Amino acid sequence: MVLPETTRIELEGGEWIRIKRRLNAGESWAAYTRTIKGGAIIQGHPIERDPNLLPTAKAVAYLLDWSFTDPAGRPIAIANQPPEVIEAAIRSFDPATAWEIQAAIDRHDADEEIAIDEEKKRRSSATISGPAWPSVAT
Amino acid sequence: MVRALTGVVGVIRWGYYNAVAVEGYTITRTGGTYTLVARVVPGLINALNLSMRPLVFVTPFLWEGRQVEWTWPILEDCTIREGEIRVRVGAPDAWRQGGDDGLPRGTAGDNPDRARGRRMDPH
Repeated sequence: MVLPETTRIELEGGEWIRIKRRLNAGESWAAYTRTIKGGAIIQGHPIERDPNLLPTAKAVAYLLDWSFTDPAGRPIAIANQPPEVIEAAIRSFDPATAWEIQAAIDRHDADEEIAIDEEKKRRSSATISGPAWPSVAT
Repeated sequence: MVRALTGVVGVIRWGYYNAVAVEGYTITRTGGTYTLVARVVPGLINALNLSMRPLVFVTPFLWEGRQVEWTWPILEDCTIREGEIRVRVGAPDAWRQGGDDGLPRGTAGDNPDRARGRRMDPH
């Protein structure tokens, strides 16, 4: 089970984002589904991914909160907002800022994958084989 | 002396996951004990998340023109009876969205009573 752990990543210019440490299966599937053209898989039709949605899907799945404000200094609220609001907020940034957010999340995602792999390796190397039971075959 | 705080919108959360949405709640304070009585929104219940620990009750409000959330740590098992939750909660904690601190961090085993942002007493 994935615990709702969070991590804060510092960005340039003193900004920060707070993201989920790991996505659970449901969140990963939802992120994938968000990249499908039309938002649904239709039986008998090939699955087509929308390149316009690819850059933001992962970021939307991970983001919980951030420090970004609008030009008037008011917080751009994304905490507890639906994915559409978070996606619209990311799209409203200049490309460099949006890219920085995506790159930070991609790096975190890659680091977590490595950590998960290492955890699995540690577990499997620590496993002690149980006793070999005699065969019941006659 | 009994003091009460009533509100409409609230949510019970496990970390950043919603467990139960609430429409209408009362928090009463008797001495140092807070008790939450909340009416749950049918269909907005995640039994798995509700079974996790620690849980917090979160209520949004505006403070100095900013959206703030009060979080009340839930101190005992949360069961829904006749569409209602009645549970003992700890003293509230508050944080400002887009502020320096936010949702409960770290593991689900974090102490929910630890200071997060500005502490306020609604009474």
